[in-house]
Amino acid sequence: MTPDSLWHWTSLLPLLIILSSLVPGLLIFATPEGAARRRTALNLGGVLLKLCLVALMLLGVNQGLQFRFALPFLPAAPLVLQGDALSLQFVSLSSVLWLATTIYAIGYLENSPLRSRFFGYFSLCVSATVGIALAGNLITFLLFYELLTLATFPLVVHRGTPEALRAGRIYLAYTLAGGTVLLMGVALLHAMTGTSDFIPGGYVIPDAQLSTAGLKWAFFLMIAGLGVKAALFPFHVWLPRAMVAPAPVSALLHAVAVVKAGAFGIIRVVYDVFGVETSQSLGLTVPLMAMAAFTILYGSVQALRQTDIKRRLAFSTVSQVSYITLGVAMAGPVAAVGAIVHLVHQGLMKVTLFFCAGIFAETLGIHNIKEMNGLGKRMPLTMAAFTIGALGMIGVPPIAGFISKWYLGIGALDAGYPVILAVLIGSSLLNALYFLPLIYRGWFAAPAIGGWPRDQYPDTRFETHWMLLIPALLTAVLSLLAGILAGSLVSPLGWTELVVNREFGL
Amino acid sequence: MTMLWPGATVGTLSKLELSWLTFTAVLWLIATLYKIRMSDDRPQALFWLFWSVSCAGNLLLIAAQDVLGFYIGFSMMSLGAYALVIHSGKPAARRAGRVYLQLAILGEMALLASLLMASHAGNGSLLLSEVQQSDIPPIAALLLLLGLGLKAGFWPLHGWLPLAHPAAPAPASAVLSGAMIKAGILGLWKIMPESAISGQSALLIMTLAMISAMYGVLAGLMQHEVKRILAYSSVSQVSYLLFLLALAWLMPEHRTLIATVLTIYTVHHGLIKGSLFIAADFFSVRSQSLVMNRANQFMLLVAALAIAGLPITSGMAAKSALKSLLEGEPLALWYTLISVGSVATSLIIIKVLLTFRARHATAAIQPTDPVKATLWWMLSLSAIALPWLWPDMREPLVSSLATDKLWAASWPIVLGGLIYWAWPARWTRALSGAEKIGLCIPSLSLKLKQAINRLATSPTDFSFSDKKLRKFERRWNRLWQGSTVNVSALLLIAVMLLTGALMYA
Amino acid sequence: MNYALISLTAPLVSALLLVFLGYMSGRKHTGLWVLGGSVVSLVSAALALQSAMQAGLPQTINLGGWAEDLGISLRLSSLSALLLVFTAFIHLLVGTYARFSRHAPHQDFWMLSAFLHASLNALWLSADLFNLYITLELIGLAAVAMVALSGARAYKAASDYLLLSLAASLIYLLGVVLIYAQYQTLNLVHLASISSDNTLTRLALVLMTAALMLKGALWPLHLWLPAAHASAPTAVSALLSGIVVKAPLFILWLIWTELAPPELAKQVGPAVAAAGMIALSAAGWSAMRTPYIKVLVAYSTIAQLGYALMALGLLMSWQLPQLHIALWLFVIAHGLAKTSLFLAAGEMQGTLGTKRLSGLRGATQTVPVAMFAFAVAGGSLIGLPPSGGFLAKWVLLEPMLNQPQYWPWALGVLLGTLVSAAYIFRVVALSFDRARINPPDRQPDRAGHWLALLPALLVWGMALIGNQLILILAGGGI
Repeated sequence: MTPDSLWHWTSLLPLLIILSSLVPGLLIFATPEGAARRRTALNLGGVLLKLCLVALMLLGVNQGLQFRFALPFLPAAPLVLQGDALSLQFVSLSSVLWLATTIYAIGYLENSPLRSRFFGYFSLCVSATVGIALAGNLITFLLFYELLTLATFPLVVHRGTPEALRAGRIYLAYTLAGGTVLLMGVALLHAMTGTSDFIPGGYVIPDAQLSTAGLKWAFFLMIAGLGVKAALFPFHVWLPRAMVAPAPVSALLHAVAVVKAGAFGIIRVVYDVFGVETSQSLGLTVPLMAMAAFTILYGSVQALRQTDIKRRLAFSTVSQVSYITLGVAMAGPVAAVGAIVHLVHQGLMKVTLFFCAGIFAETLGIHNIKEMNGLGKRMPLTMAAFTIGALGMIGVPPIAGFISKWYLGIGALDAGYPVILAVLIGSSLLNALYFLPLIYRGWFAAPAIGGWPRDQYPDTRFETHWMLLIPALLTAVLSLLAGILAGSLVSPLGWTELVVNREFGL
Repeated sequence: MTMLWPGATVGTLSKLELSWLTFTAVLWLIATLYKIRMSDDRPQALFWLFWSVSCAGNLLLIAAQDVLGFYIGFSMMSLGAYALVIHSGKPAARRAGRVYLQLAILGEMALLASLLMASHAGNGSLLLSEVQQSDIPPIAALLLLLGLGLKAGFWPLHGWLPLAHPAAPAPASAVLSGAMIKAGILGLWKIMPESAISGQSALLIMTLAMISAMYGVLAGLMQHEVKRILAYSSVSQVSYLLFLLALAWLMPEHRTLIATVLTIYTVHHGLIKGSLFIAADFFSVRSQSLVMNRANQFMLLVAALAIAGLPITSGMAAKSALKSLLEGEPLALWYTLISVGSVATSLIIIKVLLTFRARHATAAIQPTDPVKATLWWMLSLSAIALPWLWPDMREPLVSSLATDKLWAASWPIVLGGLIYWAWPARWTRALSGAEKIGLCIPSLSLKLKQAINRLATSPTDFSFSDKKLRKFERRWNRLWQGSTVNVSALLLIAVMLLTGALMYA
Repeated sequence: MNYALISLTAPLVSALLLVFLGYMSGRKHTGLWVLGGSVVSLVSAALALQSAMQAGLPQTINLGGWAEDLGISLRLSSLSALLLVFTAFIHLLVGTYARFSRHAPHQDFWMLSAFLHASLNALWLSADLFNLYITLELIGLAAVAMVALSGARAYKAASDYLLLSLAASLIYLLGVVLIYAQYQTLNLVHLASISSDNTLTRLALVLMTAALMLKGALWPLHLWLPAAHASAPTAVSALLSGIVVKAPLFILWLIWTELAPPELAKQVGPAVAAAGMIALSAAGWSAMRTPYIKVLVAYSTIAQLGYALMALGLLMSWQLPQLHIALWLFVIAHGLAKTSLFLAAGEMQGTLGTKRLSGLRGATQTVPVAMFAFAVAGGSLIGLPPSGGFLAKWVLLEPMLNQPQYWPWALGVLLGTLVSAAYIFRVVALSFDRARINPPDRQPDRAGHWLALLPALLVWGMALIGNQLILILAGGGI
């Protein structure tokens, strides 16, 4: 690469997208606690700049431009950032949701201590996520993957209570172990095949010189490492524990950053490193699929057992994120559409749910499902957003979740795994079992006689702080639109089809 | 690429769909207006939200020409109706709502699975017309029958129906019974490929339909509440629609003809059953004017008997259209069965009428709401007016005005009346077991709910005691706490010996 | 080469000046003298590195023009030049800290540290077993004296250190004598060409190896280290852990790659690597359990030396040149990170007024910068990308993963990473405790905290110059 092209705008754009949250993040660390206005300006300025840059890149990629930024790093493994269709899917998701979550977090943490620290790490977290999305090879991916762990840890333990610390320790134990295992996998693959840029269709081509056992080990190690963040059973334990974090963090962990990083990594490994054909010929996809299928059902059953709203949502994440893995493991183009589009859909819906759970807790002190009775009268808009999210998770049309489920189902039949259909249906049934009671209580049950545990905003114009309400409504509407307008080109589905066509060379 | 969901296609309605859409829209409209006039102290906003969703879904599923559109409409309709069922907030309504929702979700899932399989069998096509040409696996056909059957509510999939209809407000029951359960039938008509149902299966389904028709009547006869009886009557009547479907699968060459009959029957039943359910509210009060009361009662009589096939009503048109399909040697047995069915229908209609009369006699006297009256009359009059307004229906009616046909239409009603009059009480006792079959559904539903509640307990935290470990660690630390120099010296020697041993090995 | 000499003599000169006239010039400026010497040493070391890179091959100089085996001969390779830079940098940094932070050590620190610096530089440049002995002895004495600067509470640790250090020196000397008796030369370059596999050589190797392991606190001969490093003044701990323990390692590496017959090295290698693996886990476990901040950091040194030991052992056994690189990358990354860790630990101890880990509750709020430095430096010890520790780990992993029969060794790296993560994040998690904050005794010292952060940031920046470093080390065989 000539120096000229390193400084061309197409190669700088990926870097700028990362810097657009990294730099504000570092500046926020230096912002005094009292300067809320400056902090908000930095936060929102960063978000909006990032959104503009992402939009620019979306246009570029749509027109077939190449965005690639490379720096020498390890021997034979440079640091590469590139914007391809798949990475943009994830980048756009995280940027949009970052906007919503930032607004939400500003409202949520109003007048609480240590906000500069919180928002600093918050921005770092998004930078790392975007880095994961834009990573052009495994090494770069690994780098941002670990940075994400580091950036999210302070957010998980932000409250600083013994319970939060305990959750934080468990979170670290799992994610760092996962990161190490991933490192082993990456290093092993590097030793065997070198590290190439992610290529649609993969760059691992088995031949006589490559040991099959080695490739299998590398795959296994990488998936295990990524599975920790993607909360695949049995690596999911940290996720429900991490629920002690403030609501915006949970929203971010569950919808955008951490679990998605894992799922996205699995997508990359299967599609762009090993390639579907190699993965299949090595017999790697079926165990992965079995693992994902089990996790889906297991997560749902566990969700059913929870009485705390956020914990129920957490186990629902365990289940829902595995849809992505499941779709990837089925190794067919239609299933791939389902998987990749679910990356976005699950994000939109889950972030809505967590926003709402946070609003319930923050406004009325509601944590337990039992306390939700009659909530719809006190806060109809929030409850409506929650309902959309929950129904979407069940797969009720025309909310986004249905579209993913449909493509996964067709994909399962296409790929010749009709049994997966049973898993999908079973999971939907379980989803209905654990989400519908919440909706029922909210809308139809009579409120408790003693009133709410505590009412923070009894006389505000809206049912709660407007900065909490707006993001929840925004994401709820987006999840609805993503379903209703799924067939249009600008929808996540439309873009996903572009991604899949490039991945599968269709 | 459409703007909506993938493959979204709405439009180019067939005649069947057009009639279906029209009557559904009319019924919803009348029910809506009627509901507006009803006094109600329950929260309204939520009710109307779900009402609109349900209505929109119902219309969408009829107009949709693609799989996803159908499914979207179907789900909106089904789930929206939940709020209609539990609207009164009474325990019975909540119970009914639970059963309704559980079965609705089950049906949704069965439908989704079958649609997925069907779409896959049709090479991923999302168009209903193409899906209908594909070869779907038997399991898909079964699931489709199950999923849509749960909505249509024929025996043995009727579990929610006798619970939900009485619980919902009268206009809601009207649309539930008049429009929504027909969606299941329409779905089967539009989606189920002919190739999926063999001749034998079709005969099996026809048998099932006849059992269901009889079951509905017998179970209905055991009831005392008018909406419950009407609900069972719907179970019975929808079975005739199922019968028609099965007939179409049995004789694909007559599909066009059967389509017309199906439409006639559906429109007739939809409107009249709607009118009867609304009557449950309308007749809960009495007017001061005797003339008015008499007129209302007469109209009710006509509408109710229309269901039993009273001559020159839409009911007779529907029945005779159905029977005309069965004329001829091979289906003579079914012809007879249908006639027996007509007798049974008359029985239940008489029961309905008598129950109405008993209720009306003790009802409070109140000034009649003219809007309500107009709406109900409009609906009820369709029994007489429809055949003259709608050419499709006029033709079978006119053709059945011959004396022998009139007789054929009348004798079941007369016979039914006779049987009802001579009905021995012990038959009732003997038959009361029949309904119990249907009653197992609510208890199962409750068991499910309880099981889930039991599951949702506070999670147990695993705590690990490290006391023993700590003790061991203390002892181990003490072991090394002697003199650093001495221990190091010993270790140094050991290292040297070991290295030496390694080298000389 | 001349630059290297300047780099060597600059600290020596400042040490001697201090001895002769230091106390006259007033206490205030003592530190500045030494810092000046360090700056000169650093600049000339950098220039030496540049010239060594240009020359490519190692250059030799015989001081005073004596014949090779008689006088003092020095040798400059790109590796030793790099180590000169590294040493000078750490000294400059720690010196600056000692001069400007609130926790200034005893006045004698300056002379001793300059002396230590000079001895270390001499060691990196020596190519002669006897010279190495001399420098090692000097380093040992200086280090012991520096530990004792803490006053009475450090005497026990210092005396243990002294005794063991002297014993090790003697044993090492015995080994040297055996070699001389056999080959009549102590010049390593000569020895490399004439050494053969016989009983005496083996005996000498056994003696020297054991002695160096004791001096370098390599497992299992590390028992003296935690007490010594933990009780020394903060600046001293940083120097001892950052550089001093690497000196014996350097000699160990020299004798096993130069002097020892390859067949013998192959035999012993796995045992050395195994010792490294055990060091990683055993010392890591101790670090994980200890209730004291500095002891934790000290144990972490022993554990991290396990990586170096693994690299050395595998180098001996497989004879792969990448492992040279891995070894020295570990040394440099660890040096920087450990300096930062000790400075941060010392600062936190001083500000919070406790030696115990439990005192670190809420440290992210009370001493944010120092805690951040601790975490960042810890990240490199764990080997999180893109830190220097990661770079080293990666280079070490690659040859391990190349051959299926080598894979089990990768478990050592896996283990090391997990254990390091456990003890580092034990501290980090504690520092986020907001429920029971330990209030600080005084305002944090900004300068000291930022100085602690500096090497931590540098070690994370190492990845950016990773390729250059690898290039330097690859040219740096001997």
